[in-house]
Amino acid sequence: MEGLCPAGVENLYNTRGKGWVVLKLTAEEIVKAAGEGRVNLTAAEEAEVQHQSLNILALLDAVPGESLNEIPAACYGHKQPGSTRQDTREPSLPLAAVLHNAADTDDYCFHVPRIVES
Amino acid sequence: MNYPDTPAHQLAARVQEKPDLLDQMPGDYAVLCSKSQNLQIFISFEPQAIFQEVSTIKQRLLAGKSLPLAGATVALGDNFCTAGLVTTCASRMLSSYEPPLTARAVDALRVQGSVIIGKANMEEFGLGSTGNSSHYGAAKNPWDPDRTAGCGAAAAAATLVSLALGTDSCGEARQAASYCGVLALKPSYGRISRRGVIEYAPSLTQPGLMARNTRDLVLALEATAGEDPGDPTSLKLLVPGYFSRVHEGRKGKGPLKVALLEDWDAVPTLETEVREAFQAQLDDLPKAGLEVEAVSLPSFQESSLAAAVISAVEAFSNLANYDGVRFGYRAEGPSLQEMYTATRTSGFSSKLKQFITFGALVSSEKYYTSYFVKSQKMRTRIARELESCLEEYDLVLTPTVPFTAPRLERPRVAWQLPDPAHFFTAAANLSGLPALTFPLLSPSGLPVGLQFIARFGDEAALLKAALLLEKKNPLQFPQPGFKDQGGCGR
Amino acid sequence: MNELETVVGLEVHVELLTQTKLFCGCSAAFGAEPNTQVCAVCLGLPGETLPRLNQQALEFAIKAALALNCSIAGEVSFDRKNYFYADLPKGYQISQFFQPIGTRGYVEIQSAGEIKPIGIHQLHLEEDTGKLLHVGDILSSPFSRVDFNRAGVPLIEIVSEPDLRSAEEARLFLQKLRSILRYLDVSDCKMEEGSMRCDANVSVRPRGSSALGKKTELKNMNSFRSVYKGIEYEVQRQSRLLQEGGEVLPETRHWDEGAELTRAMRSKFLSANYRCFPDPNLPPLLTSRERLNALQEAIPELPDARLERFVREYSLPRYDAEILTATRELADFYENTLAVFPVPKAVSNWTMGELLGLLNEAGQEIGTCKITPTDLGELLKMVQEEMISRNMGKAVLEEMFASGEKPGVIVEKKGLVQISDEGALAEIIARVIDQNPKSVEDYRGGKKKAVGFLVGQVMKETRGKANPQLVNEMLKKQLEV
Repeated sequence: MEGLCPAGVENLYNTRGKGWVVLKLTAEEIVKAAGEGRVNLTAAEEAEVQHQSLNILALLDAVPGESLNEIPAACYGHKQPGSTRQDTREPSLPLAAVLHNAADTDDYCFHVPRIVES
Repeated sequence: MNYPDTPAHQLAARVQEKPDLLDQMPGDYAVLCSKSQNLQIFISFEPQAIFQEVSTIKQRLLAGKSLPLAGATVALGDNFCTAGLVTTCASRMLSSYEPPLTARAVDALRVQGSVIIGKANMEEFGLGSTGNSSHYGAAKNPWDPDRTAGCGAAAAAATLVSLALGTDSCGEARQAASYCGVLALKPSYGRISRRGVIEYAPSLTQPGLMARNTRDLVLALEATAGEDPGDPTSLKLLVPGYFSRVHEGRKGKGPLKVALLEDWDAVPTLETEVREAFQAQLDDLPKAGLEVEAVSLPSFQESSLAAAVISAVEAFSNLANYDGVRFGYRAEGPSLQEMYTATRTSGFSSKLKQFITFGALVSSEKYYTSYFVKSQKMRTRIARELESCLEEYDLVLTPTVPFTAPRLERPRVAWQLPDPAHFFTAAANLSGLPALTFPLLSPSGLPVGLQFIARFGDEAALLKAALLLEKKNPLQFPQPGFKDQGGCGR
Repeated sequence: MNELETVVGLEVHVELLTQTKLFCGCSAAFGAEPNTQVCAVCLGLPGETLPRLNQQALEFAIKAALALNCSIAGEVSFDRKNYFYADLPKGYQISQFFQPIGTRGYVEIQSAGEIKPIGIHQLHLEEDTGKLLHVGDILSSPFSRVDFNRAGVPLIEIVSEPDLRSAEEARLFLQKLRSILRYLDVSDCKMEEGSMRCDANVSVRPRGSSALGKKTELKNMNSFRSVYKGIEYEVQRQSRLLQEGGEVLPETRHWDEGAELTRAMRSKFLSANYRCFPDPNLPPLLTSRERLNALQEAIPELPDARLERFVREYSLPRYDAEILTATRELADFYENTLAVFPVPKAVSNWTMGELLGLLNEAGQEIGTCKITPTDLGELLKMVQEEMISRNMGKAVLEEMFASGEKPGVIVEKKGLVQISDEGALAEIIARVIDQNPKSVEDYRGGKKKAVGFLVGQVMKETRGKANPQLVNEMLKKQLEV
């Protein structure tokens, strides 16, 4: 199969000598992911994300998983244990500064459109 | 005296003695910046603000204060918050955002006497360095206006300022410096406070410092490094006196031992310009007092992969506060969730939207373990490999970016996963180790970067190596034709 | 169809009594003007979302977990729970998803006369969200106002196992939880102010089955009473559905307090799809053995243990002990009174009968009561020493409750001191006998009850100050001469 490019190439990737691996990354998944990030993509952008994602996921698949079994995941850049602060008051922002950059407010509150979609 | 040309450490000494020298600065800058408009280096530039900063410093000097960075001029990437000065992140999303607070690193520079000249153009939210996502148009490279410049570095390279600050999440500040021919330092994770720094990937990001010479870089690091109780990941390590560290001899220690990344020249995207400039410098290193051996670091080449996944997941979450409610751009929508989508769809650039989508994808239940957790494990392995190499060597050596500054008009994909520019730089972000890029010139006269990575907390080794190279490589800067062109600002 | 069994699990959110928020120094106090207790951190401003963990909140959470018999995680870590909603400033809530502080605990309740352990699945620390002020109700509101004062206030979420078998057990569990947390002084647990909130997962299944039925999640129950009624309603609704051959839809339902029924929330925003991952800004903290031991030692005697001790040590009826130990303040009050007047049953009677009656009537709690334990003790001493009568005592207590004055002062001011001087009484008794020959005749004729009338007359003459027992004795002596 090496070198051969079967139909539906977008979903098939050649991984370093291991033949074709089918990745189940669909256009619907891209649309769903975009929605979960609260952005709309154009058709061209969707295709681009799908293409790029397939590319990098195939590269990641090529990194042997077994070699990582015993290695812990790194979730932090920090190399020391976390710390705490005392429970003492610090000044809050003045109300004017709190509301200053907002698009829609009244004297005290931010405004958001209706919560429940009609 | 020409302010921008004079190294900050020399300027500080002269201004300290004669504060009146500062008087001509605002006027000079108004002229200088107006001539650089075509390069789109600054997003905000307000001569009035410079005037005020200068008079404050002058008063402090006249009151007898000793200011190590007196009169040093600084360009801030526009993702460093400045109270009272719009901070846009080069995004439509924040095009009119006025932060209530100033970034701690910026305050620290001001305390030492430096003057904030303006807010530099950059990639939107500091993501990448391909040069096409700024809401205000790409910043152009002073060496060649058809090429990208990245954040802040262009201002230093064009001798508009002595120092520049930009964020470094996957290597962006070092990449910009490499494109523009200046030095950049990404300190150890937590060395400089991230408070007030708008970032997309909190576990990878450090403020990056850029300058045209090592002495100035040392001063900038001394000013900005240090524990900040307001940053939960701020380092509690004592900050060494870098200046004395860098200048003290290596008694009995012999030359700096440098591990050269084996197969550095096998990277597919490596340009000939970079290969030649880097190779030429390699041959010169022993003369500069560095002892170089090639070392195999097999996981290193995976770093841009791991960094892409981790930074995308973090960006998905870290940029979720841009929802049009408390600050920033807002587009209308009939309901709350529709307003969110409308706001983010027109507030973010195409690249960022795609990147966020990728982050949402790889953090979804289906891919979480197989890609996100896998990348986090790769991160551990990359860090361990570098750390164990650095037990034996003082520094790891690589090129900074496999290529020279990309052409702005080059028909290429808007973004790429993994980003080829991150190939050499992301490992230092993943491991939290400090790294520095030193400028070289390619045979055809384009800037190229050489990168050192050091042990955690050992920025001094990086600066020392830079100082050694600097002695052998008198730095050059473009005197490009930009001075004949237009105005400045948003 | 078989008889159905109720299965309920509760998710309880409790705000902690810290001075400041979980991750910033803003005040955590209730009731301020909107958006006056917010800063760059809890507002999620660009570049400022760097959380700094409140030591006190962490200790409160660990104490609560210890008191609920939980195992404590070896390290404390926090995760981001990502979702978009108007009350969430950062687009994520900092919570503990992967490693809750406490797991596998239990609380004992007394149900139908038996002690029953209710499993605690987990207890974790998280930040509260802001508050939406709707124009009208949420479903029809054209826009909403957002107040972030509450955003970032520390919460613990306690998740029970589905061990509760009735609405009543759910109520008992919740009350026990409140009692324990108040004993610990980590929360005031006021459901009306929202410092204690409760969601219920409710399902029914054929009795004897071990599989769980389809459950609904019940929200918006703002009092103990509504928790009871909401679950009760939901159980009836589900049972009826099943018995009619229908099916329970797994959904979120709102308890409508006014209409006394539950309604399905059909809107899209409730079907959340959370992503959780460790917060890169909050590196884990280690919980040292020594620190845990110190916190364990700082845990006061809890309600169950105190109840048993009251029964054992003071020979109180269980009923008394239950009421007296319901809150730490009341139990402290009781024991402090005992220190002055060491007659357990008498103090119990006065506390439960008189004092709690006054408090209930005034809608007050013991914490705000003007009567001190010392004053109550002094009052009871006067009654015991017959300086004043029991009835006078009650009157004095009312006065103390209203004014906060000491019993001695009130007694003196009103001239209430009881006349127990035989000499002083003899004269009055002689007069009363003279003036009431009919009653004297009745008594001597065998109507022994007539003495009561005569005692009453003496009391009237002395305006209630005579010692009634003494008067009784003296009268009888006189009449039988």
